[in-house]
Amino acid sequence: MEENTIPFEYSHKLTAIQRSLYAYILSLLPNRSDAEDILQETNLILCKKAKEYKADGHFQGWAFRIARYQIMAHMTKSRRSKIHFSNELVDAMAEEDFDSTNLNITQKALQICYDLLPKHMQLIARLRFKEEKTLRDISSLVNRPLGSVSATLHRIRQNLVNCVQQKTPGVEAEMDA
Amino acid sequence: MYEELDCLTSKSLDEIATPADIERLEELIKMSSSMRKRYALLVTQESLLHWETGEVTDFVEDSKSDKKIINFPIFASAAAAIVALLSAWGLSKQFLQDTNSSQIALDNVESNKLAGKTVIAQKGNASDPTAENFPLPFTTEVEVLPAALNKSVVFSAIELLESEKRFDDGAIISVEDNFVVWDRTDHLSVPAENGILPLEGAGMIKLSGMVVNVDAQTAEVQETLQVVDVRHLPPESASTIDAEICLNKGATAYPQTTEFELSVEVLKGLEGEDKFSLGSSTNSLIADADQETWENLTSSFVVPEGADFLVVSLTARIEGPESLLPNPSGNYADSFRVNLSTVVH
Repeated sequence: MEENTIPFEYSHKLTAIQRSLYAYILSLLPNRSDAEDILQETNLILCKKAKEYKADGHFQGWAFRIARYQIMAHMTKSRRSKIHFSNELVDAMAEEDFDSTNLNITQKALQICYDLLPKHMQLIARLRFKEEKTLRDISSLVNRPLGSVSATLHRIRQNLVNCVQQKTPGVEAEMDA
Repeated sequence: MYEELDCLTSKSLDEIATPADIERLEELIKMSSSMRKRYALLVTQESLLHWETGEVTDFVEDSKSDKKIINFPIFASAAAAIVALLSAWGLSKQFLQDTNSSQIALDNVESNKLAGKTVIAQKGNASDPTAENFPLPFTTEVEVLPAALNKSVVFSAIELLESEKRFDDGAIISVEDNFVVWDRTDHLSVPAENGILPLEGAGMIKLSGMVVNVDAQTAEVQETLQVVDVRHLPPESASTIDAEICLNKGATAYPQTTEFELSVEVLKGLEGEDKFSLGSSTNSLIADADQETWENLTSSFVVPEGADFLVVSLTARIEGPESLLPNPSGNYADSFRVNLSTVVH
């Protein structure tokens, strides 16, 4: 029984990095279904290896390294069937760019920015991000050409990322106050 | 600076990127640390938008509907991780046989109670659409007069029709056998201008100047063309409305992609009270850059039972940085026709 217990501290750390771990995997494997599979596999390995982790170690770095091996193994397996980035990119992508410490601030800024989107963009954003519709489905639901939906999603992401960058200092100050 | 990177990242996240797109994206990401940071920002944002079954969209829409909602990102994340932990534990028979709950298992129950959410980390769960909570405006779900409509114009037209006035400064009101039409097209009419000749007759509809939203990088104008009062259609009848219009846009010195949208909205509501949408139909097209050709756009809709008013409107929209450029040449429409066919059973 004792052998299978995961320390609370460990589970807390694992919980805290879930979103950034998913983002890291998605950045190297831009297919949501594959990224979710790898996240699951990585979590399982992290649970199995709980005892190997040293409390003073850098948990995120350790978890990301395990995710990286899983991603590379997945890429090798599905190299012929799917479009992938190269292994060099996996090496080049810095883990620090996916730091989980400020994600709550980003999330808050994202909520503000989402609200600023025009109505037609909010509708398409909801169908894509909330209801997880494919572009083809969205195109037929809103009666707009596929290319137009794709272009709108591009603008939505661009607007949001630019807006989040602008709003983050204000949100940060507000949360500190 | 990041335009190409943003565009290719978006394609890749929508899973429509070609091998050449992915190759180019990789080149850009490797190019500099600022490119890598931008890419990481875009992907992190994507994961936040999808993660926790669209918490951002939940937040916005629920706060608008004035419901009390508490945002529990930590709990929802905890649920995700703990599901993973439980999966790992599930590998062990000892865990399955153990009846003593651990601290983590207890935390899991608490977290799920508070968050009340499903977990995206479990494949399949997140794709379950919660359509009941998010009625789409174009379905037959009932909703208050849609924000998409130019409310003040529509309200004023409906008010006139309800009070049975037959004159309006800004529109022509014509009375047919079973319905009344408030028509604004004549008042939007202009002769040939900016190198564009009317398709029929001496006049064509000119849309007002676009309203630019600098933050969102969009420019948009919507004109309400007709409001049809169908309250006196015979009961036991089935009606279909067909709208047709031809469109053109003036030349610009730079490429500018204008999208036109023709929509028919069906409204219901007692006299003097709020009107609700019973459904709508919208069709759109991207205008070409040729001033000499007119493009045809149609929209058809079976009028749902209980409809009181039909609103036909035309929208022109530009998205992206080009929306911030001046658009002095205008957007035009002509040969506008609406046909309401009614079959009495």
